[in-house]
Amino acid sequence: MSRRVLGAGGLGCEILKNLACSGFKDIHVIDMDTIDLSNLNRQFLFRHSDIGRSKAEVAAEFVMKRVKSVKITPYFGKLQDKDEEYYKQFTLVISGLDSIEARRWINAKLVHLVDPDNFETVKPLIDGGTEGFRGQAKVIFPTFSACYECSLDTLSGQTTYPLCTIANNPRLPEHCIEFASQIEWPKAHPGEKIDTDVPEHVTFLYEASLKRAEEFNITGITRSLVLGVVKNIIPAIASTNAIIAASCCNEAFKIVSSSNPTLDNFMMYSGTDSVFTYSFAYERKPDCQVCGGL
Amino acid sequence: MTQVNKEEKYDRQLRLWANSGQSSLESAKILIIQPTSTTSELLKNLILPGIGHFTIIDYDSKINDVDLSNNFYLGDDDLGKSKIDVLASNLQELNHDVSYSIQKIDPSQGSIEDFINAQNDLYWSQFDLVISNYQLESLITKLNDLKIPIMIINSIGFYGFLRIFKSTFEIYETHPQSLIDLRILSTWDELQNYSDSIDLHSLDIEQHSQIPYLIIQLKAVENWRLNHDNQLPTTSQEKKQFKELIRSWKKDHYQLNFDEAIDNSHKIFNNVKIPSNVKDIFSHIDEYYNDFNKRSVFWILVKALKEFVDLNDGFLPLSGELPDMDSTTENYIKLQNIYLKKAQEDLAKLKDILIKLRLKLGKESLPISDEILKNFAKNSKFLYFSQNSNKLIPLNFNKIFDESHNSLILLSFFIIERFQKDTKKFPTLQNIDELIKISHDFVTSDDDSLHLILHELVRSEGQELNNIASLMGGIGSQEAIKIITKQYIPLDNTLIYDGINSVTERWKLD
Repeated sequence: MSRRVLGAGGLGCEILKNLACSGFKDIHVIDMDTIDLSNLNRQFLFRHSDIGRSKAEVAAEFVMKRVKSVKITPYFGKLQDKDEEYYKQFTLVISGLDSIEARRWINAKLVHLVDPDNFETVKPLIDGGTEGFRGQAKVIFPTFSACYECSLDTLSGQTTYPLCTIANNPRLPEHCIEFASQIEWPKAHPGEKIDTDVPEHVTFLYEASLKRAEEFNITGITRSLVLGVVKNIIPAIASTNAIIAASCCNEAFKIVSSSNPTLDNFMMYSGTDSVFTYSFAYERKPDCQVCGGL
Repeated sequence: MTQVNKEEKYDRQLRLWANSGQSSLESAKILIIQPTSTTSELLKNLILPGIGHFTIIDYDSKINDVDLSNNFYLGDDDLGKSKIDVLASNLQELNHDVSYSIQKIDPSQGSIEDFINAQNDLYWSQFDLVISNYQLESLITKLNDLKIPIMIINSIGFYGFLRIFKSTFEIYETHPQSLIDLRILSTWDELQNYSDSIDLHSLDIEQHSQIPYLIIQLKAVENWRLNHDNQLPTTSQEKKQFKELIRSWKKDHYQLNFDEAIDNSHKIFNNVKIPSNVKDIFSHIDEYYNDFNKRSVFWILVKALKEFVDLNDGFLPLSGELPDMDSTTENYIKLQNIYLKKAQEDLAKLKDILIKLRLKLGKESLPISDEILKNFAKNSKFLYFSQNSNKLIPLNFNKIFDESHNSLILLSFFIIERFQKDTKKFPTLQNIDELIKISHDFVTSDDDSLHLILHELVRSEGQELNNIASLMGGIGSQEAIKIITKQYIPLDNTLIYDGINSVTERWKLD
C-alpha cells in the first residue's frame, strides 16, 4: 500500500521516520524546498553538508539507509506539478506543509477526487502544523468530515499593518521594518525582489529600518526582528514537531489498520503552560466553497 | 561553529527562549538511564537544539532484530554491534555542538541498580536532569535530597506515562501571553499631568483622532467617577453605559482610537494589584527565604519584591509594556516614555531593596545580574511556584482516582511497574488476575474497566509503538527544555497519553 507525505520539512522528517518505523513500505514525499542552516535545529535527517540540496531527496536517502525495508520516492518540486492520476494512487495523504495556500490546494484536490459511488476514492488527509510549543493535528475524510477549507476561519493568519500607519505614524519597530521593505526597497531597487537569503539585502533592510526608527525615536530594531518580520518567521522546535508528526502518524496507523477509533477530528496541543490538549469535532460547513453540497 | 552561524542555526528556537535559555541549555548535562525508544526520541529532541552534554547508562549488549524494529537511531547496518555505542554515536552525530559519555554495565558484574546505588553525591551533582523509564525508589530518594529533577517516562502499546519529580518549581520567565499593565485606575503624576494637558473636546477632528486610546479611557474613568460618587462601573449595565460614554465623545463615526478604547474597556476594571499566584508565593517567604538551604535566587528576589510592594501602596513593579494604539508617532512615543520611565524607577527601587537585602545576607548571598532583576521585575505578576512531596506512591492517589478511563490508565502504569519490580519480568495475559490483585494495594476500583486497559497494555508485551514513543519523546523533551531553561511552565507533575482516543490527562500526584 502506498502512502504519501507532503513537505519534508520539520514535520516531514518526523513523519517519514515514523511511517518507515511503523512498517509502511511505499512512501512518496514531495517538497519544493532546499536545505537551509536554520533547518538543522529540528530537521534531523539533514546535516551541515546537505545545505542547498533538495529536502525531499536527502530525507528519502537518509531514511532508506537506516530502514532497508522501505521504499521512499522523493519529488523535488511543487504539489501543483502533479495531476489527479498521480494523487489517485495513494491510500492516504499526510501533510506537514508550512503554507495555507498549499494546504488549501491539496485539500481541494482530494475533495474533488471523491466519487460518491466509490469509497476507494476517499483519501483521508491528515494535516499537522506547529508554532513554538503549540501545534495541531486534523483528520479529514473528504466529503465525510469537515475539510481544511471548512476550518479556515480558525486560523489567525499573518499580522498585517495598515499602510497609513507604516507611511505616516510608525509606532512599533515592526512598522519601520515594513516601511523599509515595502517602500524603501522598491525605491532603491526598482524591479528587484527581496531575497532574504542574500546577506546584502538583509543588511539594506536592517539599515533602512534602523534609520527610519531613529528618525521617529523608536527603539527595538534588531537584525533578528527584521528577518522575523520580513520572512514571517514562525518559531519551531524539534519537540513540537515530534508531538504533532507522531499524532498524525498514529492516526494514519489507526486508519490503515482499522485497529482503533480515529481522532474526530481536530486536536490542539499546547506546552506553554503545563501540557494542555483539546480535541473536538469540527463541523462541516454547508456553504464551504470546496466541499459544500458534495 | 562561529557565533553568527550558531545564531542562524538556532534562530527558530532563540525566538522562544532567547540567548539566556540557550546558554542554560548549552551548559546542561543530562543522564539517560537505560534508553528506550521513547527516551532515544526524547534525547534526539534535546540534542538538536544543542544540549551541552548527555550521558547514557545501559547494559553492554549487541543490537538484535527487536532493537532495530523500534529504534530509528539503530540502523539495519548496525546489527550485532554494541547497542549503546551505536545509539550514542548516531544521536550525537545529529549535532556536533553536543558532547557525550557512556557507561556500559556488564550484567555479569552487577545490575544498573547496583551501579546507581554505588554512586556518590558528587557523581549525581554533575547532572541537571536525570531521565529514566522506571521509578527506582533509591534513585528518586537520592535525587530529591540533592534537588536534581528526575523525569520518569515510558510508553507501552498505545499508552504513554510521564512523571516529573522536582521538589520545587520556581519560575519567573513564564511567558504569559502579554505583559501589558496599563494601570488606568491608579495613575501616577507624570501620566496624570500628561493626560490633564490634553483637552479632548477642544481638539480639532484630526488631533482628536490621534489621541491614544489609553488617554481616552483614563478621561472616561475620571468623568464616570465624577458623576457616580467616585465609584467605578460594576454591573454589566453600568459597563455598557461606560462604553456609551466613550462612544458619545466621538466626533466622527470613523475614529479608530475611540473604537479601540471601547473594545478594550473591559480590561480596565478586572485589574488586580497582586494576583493570587503572587500572594501564594508571598505566603511562603518565611519557609523559603529564612531557611538557608532553601534560599535560592528566586526567593531573594521574592523577598525584595514583597518589600517593594509594602513600600508602594501594594503595587508590583510596572512592566512598562504598552500595546500598539492608533495615534501619531509623537503621542505614542510620549506615552511610551512615561511608562518606560515609571518601569525604570520601579526597577531602581527594587534594586535598592535588593542591595540592602544582600548586604544583610553577607557572604552567603548569590550575585544577581541586572538582566535577571529586570526580567524578574517585568514578569513579577506572572511568577510560578509549586512544591511537591515526591512520594513514590502518592498519598493523594485515592483523591485523584475517580475511576475515569484516564485515571485507570494511570493506575495501570503503577500496577505494571510494581509487577515488574516484584517479578523482574513484563506481565503476560496469564498474569491479569495478579495485576488486578496488585491494584487493590493502591485503590479499590471497578475491576472490569481496569481489566480492559490492563489487557491492552499486557498485549503489547512491553513493546513500544514507534508513533507513541515518538510522541512521548516529544512531550518529555518539551518538559525537559522548560525545566532546564527555567522558562515557560512545566508539567506539574504527571501525565498519561492515550493514543487510542488521542487524549492526554494530567494530575498533581502528591
